[in-house]
Amino acid sequence: MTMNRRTFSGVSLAALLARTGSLRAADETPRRGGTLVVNLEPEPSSFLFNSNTAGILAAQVVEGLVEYDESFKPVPALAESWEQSPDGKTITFHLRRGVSWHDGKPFTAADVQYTVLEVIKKVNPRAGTAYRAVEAVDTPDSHTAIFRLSEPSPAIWAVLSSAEAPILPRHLYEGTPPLANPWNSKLVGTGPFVFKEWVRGDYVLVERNPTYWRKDRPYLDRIRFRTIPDPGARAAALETGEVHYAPFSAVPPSDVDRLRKLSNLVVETRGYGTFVPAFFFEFNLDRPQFRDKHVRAAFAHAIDRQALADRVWFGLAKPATGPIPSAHAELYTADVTQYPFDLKKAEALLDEAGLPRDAEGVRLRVNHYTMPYGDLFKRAGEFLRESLKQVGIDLQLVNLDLAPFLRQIYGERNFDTYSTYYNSSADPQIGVLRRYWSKAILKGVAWSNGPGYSNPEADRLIETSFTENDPAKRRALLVELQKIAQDDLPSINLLELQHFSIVSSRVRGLSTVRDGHSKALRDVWLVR
Amino acid sequence: MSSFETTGLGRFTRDRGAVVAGIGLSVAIVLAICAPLLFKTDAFAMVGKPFLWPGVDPRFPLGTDMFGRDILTGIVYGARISLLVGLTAATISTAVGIAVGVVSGYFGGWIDHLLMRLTELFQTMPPLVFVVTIVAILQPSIFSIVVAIGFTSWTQTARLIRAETLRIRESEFVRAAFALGLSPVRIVVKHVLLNAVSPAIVTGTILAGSAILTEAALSFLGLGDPNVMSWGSMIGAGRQVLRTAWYIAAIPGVAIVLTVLAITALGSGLNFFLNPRAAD
Repeated sequence: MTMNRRTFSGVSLAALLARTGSLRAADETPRRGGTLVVNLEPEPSSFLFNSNTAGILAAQVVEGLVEYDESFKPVPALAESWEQSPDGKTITFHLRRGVSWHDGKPFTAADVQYTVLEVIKKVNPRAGTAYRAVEAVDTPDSHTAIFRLSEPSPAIWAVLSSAEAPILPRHLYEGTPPLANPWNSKLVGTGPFVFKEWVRGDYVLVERNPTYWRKDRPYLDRIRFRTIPDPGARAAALETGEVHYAPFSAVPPSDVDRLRKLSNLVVETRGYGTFVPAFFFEFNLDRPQFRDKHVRAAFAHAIDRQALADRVWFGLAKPATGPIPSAHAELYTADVTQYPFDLKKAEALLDEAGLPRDAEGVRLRVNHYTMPYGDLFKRAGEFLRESLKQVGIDLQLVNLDLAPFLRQIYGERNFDTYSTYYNSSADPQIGVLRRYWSKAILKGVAWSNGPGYSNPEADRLIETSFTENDPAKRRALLVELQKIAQDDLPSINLLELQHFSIVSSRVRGLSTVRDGHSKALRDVWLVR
Repeated sequence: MSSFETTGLGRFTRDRGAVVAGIGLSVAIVLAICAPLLFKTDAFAMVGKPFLWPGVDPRFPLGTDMFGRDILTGIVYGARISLLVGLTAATISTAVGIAVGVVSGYFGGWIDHLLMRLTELFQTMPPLVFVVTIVAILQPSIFSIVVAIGFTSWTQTARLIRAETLRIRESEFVRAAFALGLSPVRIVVKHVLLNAVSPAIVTGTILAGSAILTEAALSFLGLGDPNVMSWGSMIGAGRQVLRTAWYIAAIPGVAIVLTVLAITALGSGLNFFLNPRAAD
C-alpha cells in the first residue's frame, strides 16, 4: 500500500480526531524545547489550595505520592509502591530514592510526614476531610512513610495526587503557618518544572527541571502562564496562536461553536472528570409550601433539562440523573427515580397538592436566588422562571453579589429556592455527600446543606460510607443514597456542567484522563 | 398679534426634528402601553427556535434570541421599562432639583451655602458608580433603579434653577410683590417658579434621556431588575453571542439610540416652544 506520507498522517490524524478527539497522534515523535503559553483565569493569588487555576500552576512544580491513570487507579509518582493493611488503618508508602528538591536538598519521608500532618490535614479545605482519620505518619527510615489511621478512610485514595496533596519541602515550611508561608508564591518542589518568575497580573514563568527524576522529561523548555482578564481578548489570543492552551472554560459557551470550526484550535472536554460542576435547584424545606414532595416533583417535571443544557450552556452540559456525576463511574448509578419533562404531569401533581391557579393563572409565588457566578447562571434563572411559569409557578428572580447571596442562603436561610453548583471533586465524599447529610445543616457555613434536608437513613448511609473500606460495599451504600436522594427530592439535580479546554492544534501530549486538567504538562510538546 | 400659545406651537412645529421625534415617541408610548394587548405571550416566553435572524420567520420579524424569545416582543416590553424609568427618574430629579434650586436661590444665606455644598458633594461622585452602589445595596428592582437615578441626577437642575431664581428674585415684579406684602410661599410659587420652570423642563428631557441610558447600563452590567425585560439586559444577553448573532444586541441598541435621540430632539423643540427668545 503506497501512500504519500503527508496524506497518510493527515488522514490518520483526521481519523483519530474523528474517533476519539485525541490530541495525540501515534506516528509523531515528540519534539523537545519551546515555550508553551497557557492562559490561566482567574490568576491565582498563590500556588496553594487557592483556586482551580492555582492547582494547575502547582502541579508543574510539586508532586504527590501518586498519580492517577485512565481508570483513576493510583500509579507511582513520589511513592514507588504502597500497601494497605486488611483493616484499612495502615497504609505504607515506599518512597522514591534519589529525588531532590529544586533547591538541591534531598526528598525524604520527613517531608511526607510534615506535609500530610501539618498542611494537608489542617489547611486543605477540600481533601482535609479524607485525611481526618490520619493520626500519625511514621518514618521508620528516610524512604518509608506509614500512615496510621484511626478508622478506614477510602476517600483518601482519590486525593493522593498533587491536586489535593502536593508534598512540600519540610525545610522551608516547618515552623510557619503553611498558608502564610512566603514560599507559596515561589514554590519549591520535586516536579518537572522549576518556578522562575511571577509578574502579578501578567504571567508566571516556570522552566524545565534539568535534574528531574523522570528521564527525558519534560519536553518543554518553559511554560508561561498568562493572565488575560477579558474573554474576548482570550478568544483572540487563542485564534492568533499567541496562547496555546486555555483550561477551565476560558471563553463563554456561546463562543465555543465558532472556535470549534477553526482549523488551528481544538475544543477538548475530557480531563475534567474530577471537576464536574453539578448544577442543582434547591428548595427551602423549612417553608410550608415545599413540605409536600409532590410539589417538589412538579417543579422537577416542569423543567426541560436538555433544553436548559442546549440553550444556556450551548450543549456544554448534560442532564444529571442524580446527585453523583456520571464521571465517577465506580460509584454512579442511573437506576434511580427520574422526573422527565412532562408539563401535564406537573400540573396534575400541583392540582392534587391543592394548589389551583388563581385569577392570574398563578398557583404558587416563590423567590429564586440565582448563583452569583456570572451571566450564565442569571440566564439559567430566566430559563427556570419561564419553565415554571408554564405550570403556574411564579418564580421571582433575585440576583445578588456573592457575599449577600451567601448571607441570604446559608447565613439567614431566608429564601424559597435557589440554584447553584457544587464541584463533584475527586471523590463524592468531598463534593456531593454534604448536600444530603443532616450534620452539614450548618447555619452560616457557605455551600453546606442548603435545603435543610435531614433523613436518618441517608445519614446512616453517608456516615457508614466514610469508613467502609470495601469498594463494592461502599458502592452499595452510595447507590442506596442516590436512590433516596432522588426519591426524597430535597433538591432537583439539573445538569452536569462540562468544563472544556481550548487547545492549539500544535499541542501534543495533553492528558485526557479523568483528572487530566490538573496534571503536570511534562508530556506536552509543540509541533512546529 | 397672535397669542403666546400659537406662536409657541408655531415655533415648535418649525423644528421638524422635534415634530418627528414627538410623533415617534407618542407611537412608542402607545405601543408600550398596549404591549399586553399586542402580544399573546410576555417578553420572556420561549416561543420559537433559538437564533432566528430577523426576517427569516415571518412570525418573528426581528428574529429570536438564544432562548428563542421573540425580539420584537422584547423591544416593545423593553420600551415600557425604558420609558417608565426615563420619565419617572427625570420627574424625581427635576422635582428635587427645582426644590433645592428655588429654596437655595430665594432664601440665600446659610441655607444656600448648605444646599450648594450638598449639591457639590453629589456632583463630585461619578453618577454611574453612585447608582450602582445604591442599587446593589437596595437589591436590583425597577423601584430601586428609579430612586437611585432620580436622587443622583438632580444637581444640574438645582444649579440652573438657583441661578434663574437669583436673577428673578432681583427683578422688579418680585420686589413689587414683596412690597405688597405677599407671603414668601406665594412669591416663590406664583412668580419665581413659573418663570424658572421652562429651563427645568428642557433640562428634564435631557435627564430622561440619560436616565434611559443609565438603566440600560445597569441592566447590561447585570444590575437590572431580572424580572422585567429591558433593552439594556437584552444587549447584555446578546453580548455573549456578539460575534455570531450580532443582531440580538444591535436591535435593542438601535432602539435606545433612537429613543434618546428623539427625547433630545423633543427637548430642543420644547426649548423653542417655551422660550420666546430662543427663536431669534
